[in-house]
Amino acid sequence: MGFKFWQKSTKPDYPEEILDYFELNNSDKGVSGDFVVLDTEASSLRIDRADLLSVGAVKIKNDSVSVKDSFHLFIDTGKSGMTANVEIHEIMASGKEHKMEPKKVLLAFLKYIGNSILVAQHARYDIGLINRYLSEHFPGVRLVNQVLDTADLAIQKDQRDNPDLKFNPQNYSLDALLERYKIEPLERHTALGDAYSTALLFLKIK
Amino acid sequence: MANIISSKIADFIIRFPPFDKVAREEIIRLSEEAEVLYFKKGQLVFQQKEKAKPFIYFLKEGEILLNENRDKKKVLIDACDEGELFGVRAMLTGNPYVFEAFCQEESLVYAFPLSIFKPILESNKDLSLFFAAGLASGQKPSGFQAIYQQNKEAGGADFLSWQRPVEELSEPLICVKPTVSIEEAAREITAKSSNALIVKDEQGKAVGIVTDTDFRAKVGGGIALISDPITKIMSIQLISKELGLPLAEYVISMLKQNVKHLLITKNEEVYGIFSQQSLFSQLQLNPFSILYSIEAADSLEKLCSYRNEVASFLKYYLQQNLKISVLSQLITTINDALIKKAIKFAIAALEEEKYLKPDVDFAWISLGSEGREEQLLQTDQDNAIIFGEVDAAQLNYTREYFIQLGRRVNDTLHQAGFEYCPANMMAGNPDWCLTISEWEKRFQGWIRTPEKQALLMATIFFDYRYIYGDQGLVERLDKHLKTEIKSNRIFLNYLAKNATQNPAPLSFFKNLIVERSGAHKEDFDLKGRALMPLADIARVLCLEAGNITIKNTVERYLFLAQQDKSRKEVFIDAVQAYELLQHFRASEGIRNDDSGRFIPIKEISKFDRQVLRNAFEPIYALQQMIELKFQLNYFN
Repeated sequence: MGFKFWQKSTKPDYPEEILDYFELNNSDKGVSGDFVVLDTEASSLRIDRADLLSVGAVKIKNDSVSVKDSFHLFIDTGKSGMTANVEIHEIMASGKEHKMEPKKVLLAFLKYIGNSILVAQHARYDIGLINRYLSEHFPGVRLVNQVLDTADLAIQKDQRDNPDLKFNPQNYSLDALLERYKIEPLERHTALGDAYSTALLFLKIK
Repeated sequence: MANIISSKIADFIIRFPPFDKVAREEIIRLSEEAEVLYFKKGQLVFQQKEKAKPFIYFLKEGEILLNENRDKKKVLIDACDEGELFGVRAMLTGNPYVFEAFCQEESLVYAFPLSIFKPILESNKDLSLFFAAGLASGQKPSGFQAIYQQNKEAGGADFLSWQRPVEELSEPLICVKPTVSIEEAAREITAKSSNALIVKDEQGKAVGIVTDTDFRAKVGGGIALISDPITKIMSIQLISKELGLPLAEYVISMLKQNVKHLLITKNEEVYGIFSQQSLFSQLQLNPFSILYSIEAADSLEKLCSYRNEVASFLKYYLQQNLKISVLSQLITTINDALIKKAIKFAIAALEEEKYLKPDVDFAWISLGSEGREEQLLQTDQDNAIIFGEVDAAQLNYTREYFIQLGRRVNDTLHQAGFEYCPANMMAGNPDWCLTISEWEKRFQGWIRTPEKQALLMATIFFDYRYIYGDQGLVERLDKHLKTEIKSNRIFLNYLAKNATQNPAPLSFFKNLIVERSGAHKEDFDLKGRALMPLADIARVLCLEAGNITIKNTVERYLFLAQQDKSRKEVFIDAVQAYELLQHFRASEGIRNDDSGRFIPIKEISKFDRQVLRNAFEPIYALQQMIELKFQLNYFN
């Protein structure tokens, strides 16, 4: 464990999960060949003010997704209930999900991803939102993993196949890509469902 | 922990056999532990000879071919369809993979850990049966017994009673000496409230049987006096059968011999009488009533109407899962009775119209599937007439008479629901209403000049079966056929080649074997692709073995299994496959009210597809076998 090493440093007194996360990512081991495909559900599309509602993720090792080794946690926003986005996400409406403090969710997430390569559809948004939460709860901490965006990968693939392609962003929404690659959406608008669908998409286009 | 991925996987797999037989909680537990594997086109899920992985695989999407690497060649063993399991043999045995699993297309596979799957398998009887029956991809079919077993348990009590061995007889055994008077015998039979008795000689040998009907008709009718010895009214046509056979055996025997009582022996000693009365109590919709109606019919209209009862009879017993060979024998017996009656009517009608019956013997023969005793549904009629030699002067009139006879019978059968043969292979056609020597020449021509058309004829005509008239004519034709084949062995190579024309359908995958053109574009040709190849192979192998008298495909394979012990297994597989396919065809035919020949692929349930696919395996094996045996690779 890297705990003692970090204790002696001048860095703030981070929890063990964060210290482990840094060590994994700082060491000379390089990145692991594993991918973590993630998706977040939030109350708004604006990173600066969205409430993070849930994070879902699956791991890909050797082109294989282990159902058991998936990640799906829900965040207690501290607000009593209805936000504009509830209808889409049905997270709060169902009321059955066990919600956790944002800090605990973030730590569990760091532990889960380790030094895997992160993959998401429109990754800038999900990574940006998680980074905003990290800096609010653990100042100075942000995701340092390599990141791949499935929308970008799809565009690159298309441009490789056809250099003169006219780019139309509408063709690269998750729904459009799932349809094009004949992936039946598992359960849209749940973080884990979308993460799984994105994982299948990633396997097909990577 | 259950999550939405595992519950979606569970929702998906539970739709496919054998998971439809597994409790939902167990499916969920299995899905929670699943791995979702992705393969690009051309990748292998596992390699041949690779150590078995601790998973069983389920193809979610894509196409996987199970290939065997044999002498640097890849041999396709099976194509795995979406929703199917593979890697089963390695799972069951723990041995390395015997095939490779090749992704013919980009594929998504669920891998379920054996640590979870095996305990479920071991505790679930339906699941064990599924694998025992060889229903998963790449599994060698270990026979269809397991499926029958499954069906049997689902079937009604009536079905069970057909297969159940008869161990007891309900009627008391009454034996009398030949010297006893009719009066004494009548008293005895009344006292024991039976309806038949056996007449035994001094040595204890049964010499005759006397039934209620004999007392009524012969004594009541004044043929005998009550003081006469019993032998005067006994019937000496004794059909005996050992005790302990399945009920169906007795039923068929009575139907075929047209008797109402059977003498039952135990260790060859007279044991008792088995009568139809005792059957009526046991069987619903019994075949006897139809048969008697046909025999008692006094008009053509009546005769034709009875045939319709056969359809409901067939439907009922198919649902009861009565063994198909029993059922087809029952149907054949009924059809034969109908044909015989139609011939009698035609002879009588011709006589009334002053067509004098020529003074020469004739025989009516059934051809094709009817000759093979394999007609279940009313399909086409194929039949012919053989008549004896006459002087040249007589020939025209004689032929004209038999053509007239043939036409009338053809028309009657048509009214009774048997379609006219589209190729006009019917007794009313002058081409197929021939003297015995003309027939011999025909057969000789087909055998010595085996052109395409001749081979087609051979596959229909060589399955001829005697129905009515002089059996001697048919026996003469038998003899001729046997000799001709013996001295023209090359004919068998042509016939064998013909039997391998339609390659065995290996899979339903991607409509691989759907008819490519015509009205049945979306259909699977069950007769052409599966039943006919099996019947053709049985025929050529039996002819080769010198057996020309067995016509029924199942019996041919049973004969072959007896003859060639080293290939017994494949022949027995063929028997089971053939019965299963016939059953399937009849059920489909009844469901769609047609001949059952063409089946819309989309309507075949997943389970039936797997069952059917396994039934195709023996076709493939047999085709390979005869290619070697007749060296068809070197033969053009």
